[in-house]
Amino acid sequence: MLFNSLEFLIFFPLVIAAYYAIASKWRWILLLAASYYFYMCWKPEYIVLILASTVIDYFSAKGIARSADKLHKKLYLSLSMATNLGILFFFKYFSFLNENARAVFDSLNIFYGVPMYDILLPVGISFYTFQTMSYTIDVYRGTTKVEHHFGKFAVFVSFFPQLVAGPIERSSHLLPQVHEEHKFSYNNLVSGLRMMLWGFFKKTVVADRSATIVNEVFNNPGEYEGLQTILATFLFAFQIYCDFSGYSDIAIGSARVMGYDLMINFRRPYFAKNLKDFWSRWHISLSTWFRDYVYIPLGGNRVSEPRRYFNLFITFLVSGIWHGANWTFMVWGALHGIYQIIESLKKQYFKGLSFSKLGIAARPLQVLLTFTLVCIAWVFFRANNLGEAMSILTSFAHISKTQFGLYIFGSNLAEDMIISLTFIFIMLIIELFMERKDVLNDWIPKQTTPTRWAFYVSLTLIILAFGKFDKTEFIYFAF
Amino acid sequence: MNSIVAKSLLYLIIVVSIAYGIGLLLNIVTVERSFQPGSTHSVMLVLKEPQHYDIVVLGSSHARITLDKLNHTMYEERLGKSIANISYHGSGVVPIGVMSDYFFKEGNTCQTAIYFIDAFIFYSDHFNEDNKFLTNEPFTPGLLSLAIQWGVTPNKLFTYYQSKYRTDWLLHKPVKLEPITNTVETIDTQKIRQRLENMYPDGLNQEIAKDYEAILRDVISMYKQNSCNLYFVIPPTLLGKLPGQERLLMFLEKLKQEEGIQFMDLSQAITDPSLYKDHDHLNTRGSTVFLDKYFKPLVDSMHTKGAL
Repeated sequence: MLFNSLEFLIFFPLVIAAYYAIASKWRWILLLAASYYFYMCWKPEYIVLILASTVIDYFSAKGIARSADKLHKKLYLSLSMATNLGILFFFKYFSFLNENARAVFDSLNIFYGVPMYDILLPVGISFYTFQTMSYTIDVYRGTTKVEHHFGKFAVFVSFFPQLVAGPIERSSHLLPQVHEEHKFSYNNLVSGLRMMLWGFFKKTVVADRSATIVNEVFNNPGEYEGLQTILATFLFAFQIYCDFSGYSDIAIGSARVMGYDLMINFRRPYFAKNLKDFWSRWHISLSTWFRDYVYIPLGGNRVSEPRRYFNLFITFLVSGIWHGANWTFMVWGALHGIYQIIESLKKQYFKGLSFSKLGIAARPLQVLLTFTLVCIAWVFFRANNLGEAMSILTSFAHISKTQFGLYIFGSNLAEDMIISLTFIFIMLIIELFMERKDVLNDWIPKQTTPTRWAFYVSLTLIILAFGKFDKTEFIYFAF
Repeated sequence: MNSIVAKSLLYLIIVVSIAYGIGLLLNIVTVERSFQPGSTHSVMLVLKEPQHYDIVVLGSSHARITLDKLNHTMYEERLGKSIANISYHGSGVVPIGVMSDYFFKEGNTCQTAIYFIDAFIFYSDHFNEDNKFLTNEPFTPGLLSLAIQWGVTPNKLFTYYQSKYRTDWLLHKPVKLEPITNTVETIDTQKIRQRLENMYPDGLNQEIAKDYEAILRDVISMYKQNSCNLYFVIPPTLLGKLPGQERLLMFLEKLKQEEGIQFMDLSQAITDPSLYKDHDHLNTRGSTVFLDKYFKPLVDSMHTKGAL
């Protein structure tokens, strides 16, 4: 089920009404049923995978907690990781590896007997497997208590607001909330709905409108160049941001209506002043997951300098691989790893090269440079293959006078371009204010009723007038 | 709880009222302009006042293009009949049902309806309830209500509303009434293959075809109730025999036996490529040939039988 669908508009109020109607001690049953139904609306049989992950990790964690010696604890942890990574590997990476292995064997004229399989990627698999794995790892490390209630643990794994595209929650944050009694709070209802409204605006108006131009250019790279590909890349930067952060806002908002607090996943990443700052603002739940479960176990910062750079590179490379089974994602991840290394080297050895000397222009230039570097990497993220990515990047240089004008993408796409750019601009203005003050959760609630309602009604009308409501999935559903 | 329900209802009323009001206001810009038949793809912008029409032409692009631009005036003059065109590019039975319903509810009447029927319209919701035909029309409560009744998808109802905010609606002006002069030089099998792929995006699902045949029966009943004789014509094309055409012919034969509805298969009637603007639609010369050789004799024969 998609958030931006009529089914969800019916499903959500019904679930909320039932949630507050029934006694608190039975709510976990309702949430579990609702979450499984939510997932099964996509493909019913794939609920077996979530069940398998839930059962294995529930018993693995109990085994870890029960075991006296480290060997048995490691065995249980290995079972959990092997199951989760095995499921992830088979559904996400097997076809890619199989295809590439076949290509290598064919080029060497060696018989390759493994057949090609058409494997459908289960929605959200990268998210819920990582969420449950972090639970067993934390139990192993002793940083979280084992959960004895199977049903409530199953709710933690499958909680519908964040099941298919995050935020990837830590058990220490979400699991205790499943045990809490959540009394109805009018403030939670309003602030949750406000967050959802903002999320729907970003997704349906900004992301999906930008997508028409992005898809046209990136699916036909040979037909566009110069300002066209630059603008399409710029629009993709906002498509992916608004698509993903919009989903996160809807997830956080819908959870808040039920009294649950989910972690913030995005913090206005395009206002970052360097790449390190960018990664503290972009997909925070995933970047902290990789920090805690990949970077730090590799040694983190507590190693020699060359080893630290190696750790950084590997962490970002793995992050790229997490995003998808394509060489483009690996290059994207590797590029960000290289960015981090260069930035670290610059900070250490080239302290004189600093924007601070530019005074008031420093911050805007830092933000612009960071955004440009991120956009260059996004080309690899979005392109269908490495060849097309390079074609798009090299086309940036072919700017010509004829590309300037309203009909840069033809008359069919002119309007989508104007709508996208207008609302990207409005969104950036609001987010600029958010850098100083939490506009959504702090400033708006303090305004008078007419002002608040004017904001809500205007946003709703903008969504009705300009939002796209065809069956456009969230980008991160593909992960 | 009561205050939450009350606030929610109030919010809904405010949003819907403002959205509705803006939608109606945005009509004014375009509706005030004068559109001659053939100068727009909108039905309502032409049929502004209720009146009687000798002939209503129904169908998809075959009906629309046959009477497009200068062709409409030519047909009316040569036949000596008043013609209303209720057709859209790629429209199946659902759009025709909605607009026919609107046509009659607005007080229009007709003597005869000639439906340019295509096989492909029965095999996808893309041509039916998920069709964006409403974007051609002004936003009115009446049409919105009919669209809901005939099952147009919520997504396309939104698209209908949203289309009033677009420049192609706000700046929509009558097109010049001139002849359609494009021709097909040689038959291009690649273009034919591409066209057929576009016409059957969901393949040939017989269960879906059954559902749309049932809707077509509803359309037929509507015309009968309004004392309008219905006649089916399978229009000429260079695409050859279309997938699903056998089933369509069997269905039309069944209608003939059950309800006395006549039909004519003209799919192979015109084979000269120079009479086509593309592999599926006649140009003005082709429409003239079609008019002289088939349409006028059909209309004349109906006149003789008392249908006109």
